[in-house]
Amino acid sequence: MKKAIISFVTSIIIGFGLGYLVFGVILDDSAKEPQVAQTEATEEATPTEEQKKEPETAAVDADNILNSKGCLGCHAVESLGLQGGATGPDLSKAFEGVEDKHGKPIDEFLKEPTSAVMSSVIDGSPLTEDELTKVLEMLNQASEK
Amino acid sequence: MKKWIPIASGLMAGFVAATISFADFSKNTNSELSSATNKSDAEKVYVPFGEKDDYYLFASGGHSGQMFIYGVPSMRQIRTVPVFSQDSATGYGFDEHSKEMMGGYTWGDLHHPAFSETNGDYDGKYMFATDVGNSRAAVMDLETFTTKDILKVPNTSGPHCAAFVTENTEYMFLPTRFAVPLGQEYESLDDYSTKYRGVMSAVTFDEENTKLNIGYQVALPPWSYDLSDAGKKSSADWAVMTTYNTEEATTNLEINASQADRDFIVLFNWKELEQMVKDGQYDDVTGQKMIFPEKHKGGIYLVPVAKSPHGVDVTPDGKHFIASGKLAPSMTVFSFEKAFEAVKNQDFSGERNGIPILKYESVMEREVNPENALGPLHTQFDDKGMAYTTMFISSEIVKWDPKTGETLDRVPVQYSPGHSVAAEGDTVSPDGQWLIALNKIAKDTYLSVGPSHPESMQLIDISGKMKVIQSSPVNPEPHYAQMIKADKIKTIEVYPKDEKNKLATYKQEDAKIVRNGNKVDVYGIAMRSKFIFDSKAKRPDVIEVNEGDQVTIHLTNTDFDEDITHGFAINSYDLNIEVQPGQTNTITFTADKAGTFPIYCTNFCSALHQEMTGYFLVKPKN
Repeated sequence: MKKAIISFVTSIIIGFGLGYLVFGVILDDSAKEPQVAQTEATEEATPTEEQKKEPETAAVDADNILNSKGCLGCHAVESLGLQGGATGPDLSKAFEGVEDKHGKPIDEFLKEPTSAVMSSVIDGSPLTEDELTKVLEMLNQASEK
Repeated sequence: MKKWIPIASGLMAGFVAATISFADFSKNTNSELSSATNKSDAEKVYVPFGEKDDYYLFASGGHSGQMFIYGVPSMRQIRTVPVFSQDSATGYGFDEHSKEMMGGYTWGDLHHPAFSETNGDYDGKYMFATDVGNSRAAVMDLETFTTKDILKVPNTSGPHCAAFVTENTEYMFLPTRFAVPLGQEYESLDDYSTKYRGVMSAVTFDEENTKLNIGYQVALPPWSYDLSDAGKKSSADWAVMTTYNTEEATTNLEINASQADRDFIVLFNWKELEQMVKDGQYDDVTGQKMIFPEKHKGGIYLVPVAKSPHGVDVTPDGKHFIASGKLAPSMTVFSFEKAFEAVKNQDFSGERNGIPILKYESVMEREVNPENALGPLHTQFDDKGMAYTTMFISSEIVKWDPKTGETLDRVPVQYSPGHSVAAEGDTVSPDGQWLIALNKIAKDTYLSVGPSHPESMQLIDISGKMKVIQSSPVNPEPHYAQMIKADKIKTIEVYPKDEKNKLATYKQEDAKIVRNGNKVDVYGIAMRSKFIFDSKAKRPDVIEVNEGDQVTIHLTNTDFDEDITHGFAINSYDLNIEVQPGQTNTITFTADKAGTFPIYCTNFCSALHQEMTGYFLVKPKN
C-alpha cells in the first residue's frame, strides 16, 4: 500500500513535469508564432517572385558570361530574365541602343567605354576577344527578344 | 490493487494540474485572431516590403491644385500629380506643354476626381478633375500619371457640381456653383434673376487626340449647383444634380439662400439634350451651342427636395437616387422609374424658370432619418447595395439599407467628414471591404505643426461591423476621392521612341544648337551622367547665347531604362523641368539676364549625378 502511495505521488510529479513540458515549453513557443508571422510572410513573398521568374531564367545558362564577368552586379537583362543590380541600365536593348546613345557601336564601347563608370570597370578588367564575342552574342540575343 | 493504477492516476492528476497551471487558453484565441481570415487591425493595414497595396486611391488636393495618389489599405502616399498648380518637383508648369495647358493661371482648386468608365465600371484609362477656382476641367493619363489636357470652360464660374462621367464616358458634366452673366460680362446684381445664369457644360473627351471639348451647354436658372451623379443601367441616359439658392439671393447666402423650405434636384436626359442640339434647338452664345430650357422644352425637369441639399448619389443598380440634407437631417430616396413615369404622364405641379416641376410625392420613395444623425452629405455603396452616408455635423458614417431605410450600423470619425469613398463605391459593382472618410478637421489627432492642422483620411473596414482601423494626415484638401483596384491600372515604364517627333534627339551625334537670328533652338540629350547639347562643340555641355535671345531647349532623355529620370535646371534662372526615360520635353524662355549660369540635373539619376552639369553663358549686349 505504501509502495502504491509512493508511486502515486511520484507519478503526480512526473505527470506535472510532463504537463509543464507540453504547455509551458512546447506550446508556449508556438503561441509566440504570430509575432514572427509578418517576417515569414515577407520571406514567403520573395520565393514566389523568384518562382514566377524562374521559367524565363531557365532559358539562359546560369553560368553565362554576364554572370561570370560580374556584369549582373550592376545590370539586369530583363528580356533574358536575368535579374541584376539597378546601378547600371538594363541591357535588354543595349545591343542596338549603345551606338545612338554613346556615339560608338557596342563592340567598340566595350573595348573603350565613353562613360566614367564603365571606363573604370573595363580598365580594371578588360574583356578578352573570346569574352567580348560571348557578351555580344548574349546582348544580341537579348535585343531580339 | 494493480500496480499500474496509482501510477496512471498519479500521471493523470499531475498532468491535469499542469494543464490548469500552464496552459494559456487565451493564447489559443489570440492565435486564431491573427490567422489569415481574422487579422488584427494592424495586420489589415500592414503591407510588407515586397508586396503592394490592393487599391489606388486618387484624392483631390483642393486648393493645392494637385492630385494625391495613395495605396490602400496601407494609406501610404505614393505620388503627387500636379494638375492645376505648378510643381517644381516634376517641373510641371515650366515646360512648354504644361505651361500652355495652365493657360497663365498659377493655381486651381481641384475638387471632384472621376475615373473614365466603360459600362458603368472604372476602366483604368483616364482620370478627370475639375477646378472650382478657375473654371476648368482636366484629364490625366493613367499610363503615365500625367495631366494631358486642361479645358477652360467659358460662360461658367466654379464647376463644383462636377465631374461625374456617364456610363461609357460619353460626357462629363460640369454644372457650376456660381451664377454669372453669360460670357461673364459685367451686370448689376440688381438684375441677378434676369441676367445671371447657372450654366451646365457637357464636356466630351477625344481619346485619340487626348483633347477635352465642349459638346453643348445648358443655360440653367441663376441658382447654385452643388453636386451631381450620372445614372446607371436603366437610368444611364439620365443624370441628377442638386441646387441651392433657388431664392436667387445675391448677398449673405448663408442666411438668404436657406429661406425656402424646398430646393430642387435637376433631373435631365443627356441623350435628349444631345438630340435637341443636333436638331438645332439651341442658341449660339460666345461660340458655344447653348440650350435655353425656357425656349426649347424637353430633357430637363425639377424634383423638389428638402432645403439646401448637398450630395445626390445614384444606387449601383441605377434605380434610385439619394439626396442628402445638409441642413435637413435626413436623406431622401427617389425613384428613377417613378420620375420617368411622371415625365411620361406630364404629371407636373408647375414650372420654375420655364422648367417643369415633378410632384415630390410621385417621385419620392422614402425619407430616411437615422436617430440623432446630423448633416448628411454624401453616400457611397458596398457590394451588397448598402448605403454609407457621411454625417458632417455629428461626425460619423451611417450605414443603412436604401430598400428599407433601416439604420444598420454607425461609426464615429474625427471629425466632420465631407465625402467618403468606398472601393469602386460609385460604380455599378462596388467592392465592399474598404471605405475612407475624408475628414475636414483633424484637431488633436497628429503631432502638432502649429495653428494649422492637416486634414485627415480614416480607413474603415466595412466587411463586418464598421471599424476605423487607420488614420492618415493629408495635404489640403480631400474633397472627394476615387478608389480603383490596382490591377486595372497599366502604367508604362519608358516613353517609347517616336521617330516622327522632330523635336526628339535619340542619337548623341544629332545633338545640335541651331541659331536663326535671335532665336536659338537646342536639340539636346540628357543621359546618365551628362548633358550633350552640341555633339560637335569643344564643350558639348555648354549653351552659349546672346542677351535677349529667345532660347528653346528640346531635351530628350536617351536612357530607355526604368526609373532614370533627369532634371534640367539653370542656376538663378528660375527654370526647372524633368525628362522621363525616353521622353522629349521642351522649355522656352528669353535669355534676359547676362552672365554665367551653371546648368545641372535636379533629379538624382545615378552614381555620377553630381557631375551631370553644364554651363549656360549669356553674352552681354554691349
